Amino acid sequence: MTTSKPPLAAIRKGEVLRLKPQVDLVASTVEVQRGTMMKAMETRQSAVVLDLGAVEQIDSLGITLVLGLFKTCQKTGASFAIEGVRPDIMRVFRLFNLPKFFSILEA
Amino acid sequence: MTSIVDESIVSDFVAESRDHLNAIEPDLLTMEQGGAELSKDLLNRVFRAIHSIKGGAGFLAFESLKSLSHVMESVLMLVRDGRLRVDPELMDAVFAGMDRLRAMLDDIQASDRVPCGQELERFKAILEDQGLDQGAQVKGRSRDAAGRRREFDLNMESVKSALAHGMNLFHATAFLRRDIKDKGITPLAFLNNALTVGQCLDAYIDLLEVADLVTCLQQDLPVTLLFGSVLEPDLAAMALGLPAEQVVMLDMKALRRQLKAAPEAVPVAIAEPAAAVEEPAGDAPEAGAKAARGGDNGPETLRVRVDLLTGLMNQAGELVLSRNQLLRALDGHSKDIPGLAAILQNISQVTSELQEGIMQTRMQPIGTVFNRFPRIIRDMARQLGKQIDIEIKGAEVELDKSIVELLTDPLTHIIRNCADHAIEMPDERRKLKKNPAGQLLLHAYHQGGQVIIAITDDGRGIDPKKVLAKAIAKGIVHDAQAKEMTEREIVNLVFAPGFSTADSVSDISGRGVGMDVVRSNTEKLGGHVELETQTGVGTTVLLRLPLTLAIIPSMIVGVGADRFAIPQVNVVEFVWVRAADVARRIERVHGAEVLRLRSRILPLVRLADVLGIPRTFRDPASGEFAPDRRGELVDRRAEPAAERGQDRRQDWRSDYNIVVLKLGPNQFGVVVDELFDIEEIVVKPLSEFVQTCKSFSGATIMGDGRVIMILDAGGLVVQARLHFADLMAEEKLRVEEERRQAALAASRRRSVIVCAGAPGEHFAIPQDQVMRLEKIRTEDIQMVGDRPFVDYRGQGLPLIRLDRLLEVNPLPAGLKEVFVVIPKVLERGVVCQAKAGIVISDIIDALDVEVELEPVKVKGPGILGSAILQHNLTLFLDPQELLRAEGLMGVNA
Repeated sequence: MTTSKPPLAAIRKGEVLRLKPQVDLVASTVEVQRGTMMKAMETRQSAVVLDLGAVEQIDSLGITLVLGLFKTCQKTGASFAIEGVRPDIMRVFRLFNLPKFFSILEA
Repeated sequence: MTSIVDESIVSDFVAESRDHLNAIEPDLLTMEQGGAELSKDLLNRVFRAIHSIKGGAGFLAFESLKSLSHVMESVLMLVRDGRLRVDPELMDAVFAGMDRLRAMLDDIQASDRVPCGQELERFKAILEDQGLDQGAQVKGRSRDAAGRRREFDLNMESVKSALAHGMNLFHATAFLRRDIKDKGITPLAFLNNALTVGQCLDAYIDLLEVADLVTCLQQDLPVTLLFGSVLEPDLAAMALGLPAEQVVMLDMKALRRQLKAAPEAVPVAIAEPAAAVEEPAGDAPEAGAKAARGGDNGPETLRVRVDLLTGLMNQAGELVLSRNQLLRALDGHSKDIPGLAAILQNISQVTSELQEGIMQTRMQPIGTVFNRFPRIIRDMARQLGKQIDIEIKGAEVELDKSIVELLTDPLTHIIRNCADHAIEMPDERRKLKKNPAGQLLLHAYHQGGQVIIAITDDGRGIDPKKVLAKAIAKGIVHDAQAKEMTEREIVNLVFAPGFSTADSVSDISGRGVGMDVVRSNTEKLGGHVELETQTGVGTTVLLRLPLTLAIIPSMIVGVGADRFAIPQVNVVEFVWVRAADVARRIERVHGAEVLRLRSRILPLVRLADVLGIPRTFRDPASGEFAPDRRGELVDRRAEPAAERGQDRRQDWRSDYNIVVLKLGPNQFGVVVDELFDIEEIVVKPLSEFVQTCKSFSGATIMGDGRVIMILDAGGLVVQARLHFADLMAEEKLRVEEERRQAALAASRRRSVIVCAGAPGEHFAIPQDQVMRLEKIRTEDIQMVGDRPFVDYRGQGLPLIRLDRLLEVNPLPAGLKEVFVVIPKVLERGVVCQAKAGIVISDIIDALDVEVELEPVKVKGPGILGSAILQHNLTLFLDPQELLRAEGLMGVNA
């Protein structure tokens, strides 16, 4: 991860927090992303949208992170949805039955 | 990925998905009509169906199918959660999506090539319109997600399918870190590997165990899979790359038992074999409802390939034939072999039951076709701006699968025509004081061993005049024929080939598009189509269909040495015309031989002639068949009475056997040499070499191993060039003429009493108008005023002198005796006592004459006319008129 881009963009529009990782959600990046997410979640919001438009790969820890984010949203009473998911990642989400828990829209 | 999937899984998926789509179509229509008050059950059903398709498509990697069903699912979820209101536009999108899904399923391997961009856009637009509302909906669902749902959300069909494929079911737990990440593979690679080993029926991550952002990366989350594989547990664990203790095989016996008990219920227990988690109370009613629905579904069902059934059916047919042969071969040996009769009886019965049972497996409710029409009508009504209500009755009536399939096209034709042409626009209907919504009824029912399908509308009906004009213009009938046609025959012209073409559809108010296709398709099925219509009131199209095409009771008939089978549904009756009665009962009309049967006249065809078999007769003396040279059935040559005993025309072997067949409303007689039994015959399709022979619809094998042909009633009519309309018209004319002649003859024939007046004057009085004739002495005549009277049975009877009423001469003076004709007078239908007598000089004769009366110049009342009787000009008198003229009778009497 030698990119100058911030690993995660957090955009707030009214009550909605849009989190857009700029890099893949894999073991090497999850820790940084988790930090940024934690920070963004400190402010209350009614909805959190995770935009995976820029994410090409996700590994076990990436999935764990996504679930962690969802759990945090549940605790704070915010709704949660994922957008811009690539087909390969969508397949993983689906095989793990994640759409049962929150809405996931494909790219 | 699809390449490694067993093809049968794909075909099962396709069949299941089709079933899902078919099952929810009525629900979607209800949804559209239901507006705000939609039942939760219904919405869940629809949602689940699309969800199942999506799941399967995802698993089998049919991408287009998956993405389309996914967006549809998302939209339906919004509807289910009350976030999205149902309106016609939304339903248009949903229906369009359904059609696309169907198109994809039709050729599943090419499903990705089916364009669905437009539909996807439409759904995405709907979802975008909802925008942030989606977030709220997630919140609603998060309650579930809080770990209450610990069971697999399973489609029972997939469990069944896995079991049917001999798979074992496993409960496999994989830890995201140690089993996946630490082994250097991605979750996707792990899952892909799993799918090469077996079938992943479901998966879930226990949310209770998920930590929040603070600690999530420290935990090792378990993912649980419900996994089907043909492998044994240890091999399965190895193949999945998981420690053996994390792969637990489920109790398959218990599972099967559970499935049997509640086929629809989700097997909750199997998800957590080790640590059963308490079921939340909130979920219980749904599970209960599912179980109840499973119970209602009746016996367990199994998906079987149709070709397998067809094969079984053919085998059963062969078995029936073999049984018949066996019975015939052993006929007469039952005394030689003890117990043989019972064995044969048993074989016979088992064979029949087996064959019947197999036939039933092919029976399908007509509803499978009917159910598509509400949707067609809905779409057409929207397109045409009409309102149409469709009602379906008898959807449970069953027909052979092949018939049901072939019915789809003709019925669709009729329904479309109906909506398009027959049913008026709402405004027009209102003006006609009709319900603005057109009523369409599809009704299937059994009648006389056939299934009748009636399609009735309350539209504008078909105008026979327009149909006739068009038929004449198109050269389907000539003017001459047209004059003799009944209205019913005329409206049925719409079925004539070439009657309707697309360019002239709108010329005819009512139906007309492709109705010849309807007829030919129905006839292909051994059925018949009729049409009844009333202008302005509506139209009914009646399809009569056989229950099955495979085994039909048939009458076996013989011509010469050949045997033929006639399907019993066509047979009306048998008529035996004795040789001696032939001349009386068989006539020629319009150049064709006809049978007079009670009030009907039936055209006759000789089966031998139609099929080109040389006619033969059995020689009474030798019993041999010999060529029959007579041209006509009716042989009117007079035969000497003395030789009658030897004349073969009078021999009983020359009697005629006529099978009366019906074809729709028409009947005709087929002359055959011999009638045999009625048998259940197994229909074998005709080889393509003889398929063009219209006279035959198939072949069958008899008990003695002979192959015989099955006759097609419609084909015989065509082959024999029978024109029922011509014949009926001719017969109508003939009957009319006969009646006219009889009436004329009756008017001419009369019994009269001829009497004399003055010399040279003769009168005739109809006998039926005379009560008595009396001879009186002239001296007994007394005058009262200027009217003569005579004492008649103690009463004074007025006498009428003809010369006082008519321009005739008085009776000669000096007669000692004269005669009195006392006319019969009826009052209120009762003969009343004598009113008067007509005086004449003599009674000459009582005659039965047949004369044409001529008008006469003689003036006066009561003269009917004159005629020459026995060389004398005779005046025919109406005695009652004379009485009336004399004022002796009321005008009304």
